[in-house]
Amino acid sequence: MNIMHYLADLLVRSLFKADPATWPYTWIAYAVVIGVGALLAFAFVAIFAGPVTWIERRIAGRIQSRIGPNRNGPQGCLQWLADGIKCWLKEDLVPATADKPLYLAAPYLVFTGMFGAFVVLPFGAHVIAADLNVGLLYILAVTSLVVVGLLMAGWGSNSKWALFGGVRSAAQLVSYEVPSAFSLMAVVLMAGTLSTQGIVGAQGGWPWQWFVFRNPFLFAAFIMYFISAIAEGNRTPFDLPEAESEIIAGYNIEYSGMRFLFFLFAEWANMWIMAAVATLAFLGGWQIPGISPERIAEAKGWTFVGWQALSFAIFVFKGTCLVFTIIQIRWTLPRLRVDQLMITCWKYLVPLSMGSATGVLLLMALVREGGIVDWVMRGAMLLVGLLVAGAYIRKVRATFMADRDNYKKMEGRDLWYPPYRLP
Amino acid sequence: MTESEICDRLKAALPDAVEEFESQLLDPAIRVKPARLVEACRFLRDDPSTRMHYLRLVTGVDRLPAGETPGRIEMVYHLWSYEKRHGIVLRVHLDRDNPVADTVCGVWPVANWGEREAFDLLGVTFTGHPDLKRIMMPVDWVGHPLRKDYQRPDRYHGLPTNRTAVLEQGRVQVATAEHVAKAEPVSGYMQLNMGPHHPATHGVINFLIETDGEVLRRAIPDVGYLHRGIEKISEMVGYLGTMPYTDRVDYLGAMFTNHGWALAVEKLCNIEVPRRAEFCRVIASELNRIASHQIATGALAMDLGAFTPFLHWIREREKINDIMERICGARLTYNYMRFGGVSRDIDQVTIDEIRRWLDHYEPMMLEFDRLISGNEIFIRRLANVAVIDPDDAIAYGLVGPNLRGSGLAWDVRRDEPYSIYNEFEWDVITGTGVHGVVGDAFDRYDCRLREIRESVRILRQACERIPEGEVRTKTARIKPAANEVYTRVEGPRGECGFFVVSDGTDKPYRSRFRTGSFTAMTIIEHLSPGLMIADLVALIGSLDVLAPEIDR
Amino acid sequence: MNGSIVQVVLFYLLAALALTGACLVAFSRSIVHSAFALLGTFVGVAGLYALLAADLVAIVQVMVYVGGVLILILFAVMLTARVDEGKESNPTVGKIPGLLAMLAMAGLLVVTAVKAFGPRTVISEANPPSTVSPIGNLLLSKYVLPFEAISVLLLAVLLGAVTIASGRMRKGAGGKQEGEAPR
Repeated sequence: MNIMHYLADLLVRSLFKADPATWPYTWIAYAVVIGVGALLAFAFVAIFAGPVTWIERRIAGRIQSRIGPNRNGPQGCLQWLADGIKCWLKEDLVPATADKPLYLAAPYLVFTGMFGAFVVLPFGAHVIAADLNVGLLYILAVTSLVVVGLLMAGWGSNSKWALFGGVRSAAQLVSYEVPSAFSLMAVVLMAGTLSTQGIVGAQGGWPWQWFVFRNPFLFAAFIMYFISAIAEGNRTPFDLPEAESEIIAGYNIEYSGMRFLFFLFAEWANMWIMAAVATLAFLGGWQIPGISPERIAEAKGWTFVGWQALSFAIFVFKGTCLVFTIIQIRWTLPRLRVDQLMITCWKYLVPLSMGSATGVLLLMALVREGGIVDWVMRGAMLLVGLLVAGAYIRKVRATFMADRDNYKKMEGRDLWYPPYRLP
Repeated sequence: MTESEICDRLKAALPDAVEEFESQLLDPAIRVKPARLVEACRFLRDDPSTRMHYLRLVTGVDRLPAGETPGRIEMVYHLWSYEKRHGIVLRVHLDRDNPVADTVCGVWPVANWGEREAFDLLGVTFTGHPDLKRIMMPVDWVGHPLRKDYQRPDRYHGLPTNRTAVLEQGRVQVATAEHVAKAEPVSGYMQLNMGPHHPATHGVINFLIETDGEVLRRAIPDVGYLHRGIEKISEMVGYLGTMPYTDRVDYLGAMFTNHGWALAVEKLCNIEVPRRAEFCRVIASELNRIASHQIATGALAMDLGAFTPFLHWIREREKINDIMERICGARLTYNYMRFGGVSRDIDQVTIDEIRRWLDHYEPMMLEFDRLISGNEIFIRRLANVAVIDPDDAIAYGLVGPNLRGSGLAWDVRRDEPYSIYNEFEWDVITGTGVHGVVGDAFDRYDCRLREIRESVRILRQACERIPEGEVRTKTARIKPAANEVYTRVEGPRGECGFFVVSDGTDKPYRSRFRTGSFTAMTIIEHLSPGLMIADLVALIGSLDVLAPEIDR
Repeated sequence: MNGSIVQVVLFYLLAALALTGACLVAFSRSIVHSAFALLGTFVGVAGLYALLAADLVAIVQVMVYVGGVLILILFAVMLTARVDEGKESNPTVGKIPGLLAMLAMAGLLVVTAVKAFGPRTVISEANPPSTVSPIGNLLLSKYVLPFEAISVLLLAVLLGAVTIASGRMRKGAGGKQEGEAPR
C-alpha cells in the first residue's frame, strides 16, 4: 500500500468530498502530499544532522579525555544551533577567480545527491516516501550525483588544493561504489527484490532472521559494505579528500558560510544514509521482533499508528547505533594514504565482495531455507557476532581500567564519570 | 687526535694551504687559504685518520676594519668526526668588500643552507653553489643584516620598516607581488605551495612542491617566515639579555637552549657551576625533553589523522607544565638557567611532586603506545617511508633522534659529555627497524618514545641523588676576553649548539645558534622525489622540525 | 488517477532540462562548463525514462551515465585542460549551413518518431509493474548472447586500459621505481 497515495486520497475525500479517481484536481493533492513528505524527510535530516554533530563532539571529547562543547545550552546541546546560525550569518565569499556558476552550484548538487536517497529509506512499516521498485539501486545511482558535485566544487574553486581534493574524492567515491554495490547485491540476491521495503520484509525482527547472521558470506558482505560506506562518506580513515592536516579541507577550502555548511550537512546526512542502508539491508530494518508485517498491515486505527511508531523507533535506534560506531572509528584511526586506499579497494574489497556475492548464490542454491544447515549457519554467525562484540568490549574495558587506576592514584579522583553525571 | 695533530696532518698533506694554527682559542682553529678551502675540507673528510664527515656549523663573522687590520669576513667551519670522536675548526678570511669563497656543498651537502644564510645575512658569495638565494630575508631585500655597519632601509615595498614611522603614518601601501616569486617554474608538473599557513608543517614553513599527480617530483622548503634576527639581537642586548631569546629559538625545548647558552658563556668566562645547580639543570632539562617528545609524537600522529593520542599526551604534558611553573614560574618559555647555575632552587616540595608525578607517569607512558603505535594503519603510513641511511644522515647534518633513528648511536650527553649526565645510568636509544627498515619514519618516532623512558630513568636518579648546596655561583659582570667557543647540548631535536665570539665587552660579538631543525630541513629536498604528499607530511612530522628553530 | 496533465507538464519540464543541457554543451564557451552541462542532459533523459515507466533503465541511466561516463569525461577534461586555456571553446563557424542541417535533422527525427511510436504514448496506469525482473529474465534467456558478448567486450576494454596505463607508468616514472625503498 502506498502511503502517499492513501493520504492524498484521504485528503481529497475528506476535504473536498470528491472521488479521487475522477476529480480533475487530484494532482494538486498529490503535489501537496509530495511536498509535505519531502519537507518531513528534510526535517528528519535537519533534526538528525544538527544534534549528531553535538553528539559527535561530545563523544570525541570523551574519547580524547576532555569534555567537549558544554556551554551553549544544558551540556552544550544547542552548540549545533549556535554553529549553524554563525555559519549562516557569515559572509558568503566567492573567490574573484573562481568559476562562478560551478562554484555556486556545487554545494546544492552535493546536497541533492545526498538528500535524494532519503526518499526510499524505509523508516517504518509503512513510513516511506516512495517505495520504488528499484529502491536500492536508486540510492546507489543518486549518490553518484555527489561525485559530480565534488568535482564541480574542486574545479570551481580555482585553487590547486581544492582541485586536488576534488579529484581525490571523486576517485575515491567512484572506486568504493564497486564493493559497496557488490555487497548490496548479495543482499538483493537473498531478498529477491531491489525494493527497500521488500528487502526489509524478507528479514525478520529477531537477530537470527537478520541478513547479517544468515550465512558467513553475508556477514562478510556487511563488514565490506560498512567499510565501503565509510569510504563513500569521506570519513576517517578514508577522509583523504578533506584531510585537514594535509590539504586543509580539500574541495571545501574556498567555501565559507552557508555553502560550507551545505557540504558539512551533506556529510552528516550521508553518515545517516550509510547507517540506514546498512541497517535495512543487513540488520533487519524496522522489523519488530515477533510481529510480522502482515499483522501490522491488518491493524486499524491507533494500533496501526502505534506499530508505525515502534518500527520507526527501532529503525532509528539501529541506525543510530551504527552512526555511533562510525563516529568512534573516526576518532580512533589515522587516515590511509591515497595509494593504500586504492589498494584496499581494488585489491582486497572488490574481489572479496564479488566472492561474497557468488558465495551467497551458491548457498542459496545448495541450502534450503529453514533446513538444518541454514539454522546451523545462523547459529554459528550469531555466535561469531557475539564473540566479536564481546572481545571488543573486553579489550576496551581492559585498556581503560589500566589507565583509570593510574589516574586515580595521581589525581585523587576518578577518571571515569557515568554518562548521567556529565561535567 | 688532538687539534694540533690534525693541523700537522693537514700541513703534511697540503703544505701551503694552512696559514695559521690558532691555538689560543678555546676551540683551536686552523686558518686556511681561501683558494685551498675545498681541498682542505675534502682532505679532512676523506683522510683515514681524520674522517670528518660531519659539518656541524657554517658561520660567518664580520670584522670591521680596526687600525691597520683591514676589514674581513671570516667563514668558520666546525667539523666533527663521529668515528674518531674528534673535531676541528676551519677558518678562512675573506675580503670584506668582496667576500668570495668556494662552496663546500660538494663535500658536505649540509653546507648548502648554511652558505645560503651567510650569503643572505653577510653578503658572502660562494662560487659553485647550486642554488645561492636568500634564505631568511625576502628575495629582493637590499643589504645584509648581520653586517656590523648595516643600515636598515626605511621602506620595503612601500611598507615602513620603522615602528615610529608606522605610528605616524595613516595609510600603508600594499606590497607588490614581485617578492613572492620564489622558484623558477618547471613546466609539465603541478606546482603547489604547501604552507606557510598549513597545519602539518609544524610552524610557518613553506614548501614549494612540484607534483605529478600525487607523487612529488621535488619539494623545496622555503623558510624565513619566522626570522627574528635573534643572533643580531644578542649582539645588542648582551649575554644575559639573550637568555630569554634563546627560549624563543626552540620553544618546546627552552631549557636546552638556555643550558647551551649558559654553557657557552660559562666556558668563555670560566665559571664553575655548583653541584646542586647541575642537578637542577638536569631535572629541568629532562622534564622538558619529555614534554617536547610528547608534542612531537602527538603531532606526528595528528598529522596522520589520529587526533586522539595527541590530546592524551597534552593531558600528561599539562602536569609537566605545572611542575615547570613551580620550578621557574613559566609554562613554556622558562628563562631558567643563569651563568653559574639556575635562577631559582627546586625545593623539596617540588622534588616530591616530581617523584609523585613519575610514579603516575611511568605506567601512563605506555598509554600512547597502546593508543597508536601498534595500529596497522599507522604502521603502514610510517614504516619504510622516507628511509634515511646513516651516511646520508651524517652528510646532511641530522642530529638527535633523526640521527639515532638511522642507527648511529651518538648522544651528545654521553659522547661529548657536559653537565653531570655521565653520572647517571641511562641508555642511548637507536632505531632498530622495528616495523620496517632501520632509518624509516617509524624508527624516528619510536626513538622519541623510548627516549621518554630514558628521561624518566634519569629523572628518578636525579631526584634521589640531588645534593644540598647553592644553586648559583656569584659571578662578576660578564665580560669575557676575546675568544671563541662552540658548546652543544643534546636537545629534543638534537644537538643544539652555540658558537659565541666574544670581544671583551659585555655583549657578544657574534653568536650563532646551531639547531637541529635547520639541518633537518636540508634533507627534505633530497628525499622528496618519489614521495607522495601524504608521505611528505609523515616525513616532516617524523623529523620533528620546529619553525622558530629553523629561522631563529 | 487523472495524471495526464501532470505527465504532460513533467514531460515538458524534463525535456526542457535535457535540451538546456544539450544547448549548454554545444554553445558554452568553456569546455568544463560543457562537460558539466551534460549532467542536465543525462538527468533529463533519465526523468523521461521514468515517465515512461522504465524504472530500471532510468536508474541505470543515472548510474552509468552520470556516475560513470560523465565522471570519465570530467576527469579527461579537467586533467588535460589547462586552467587558463579552458576558457574558449566551441567557436561558431558556418551558422547558415548549420541551421539548415539542424532543421533537416530535426524534421527527419520528428517524422520517424511519430511514425514509429504514434502521437501519444503516456502511461496512464497508477502503479506500473516493475521492469527489473522482466529485463533480467530477458537478458538471461532471449538476449544472453549479446549480454555475454558485451561482458567480453568490457573485459577487453578493462585489460586494454590497464595495459596502456601501466605501460605509460613504467615509461614515464623512470628511475623512481628502482631506487625506491619498498613500501
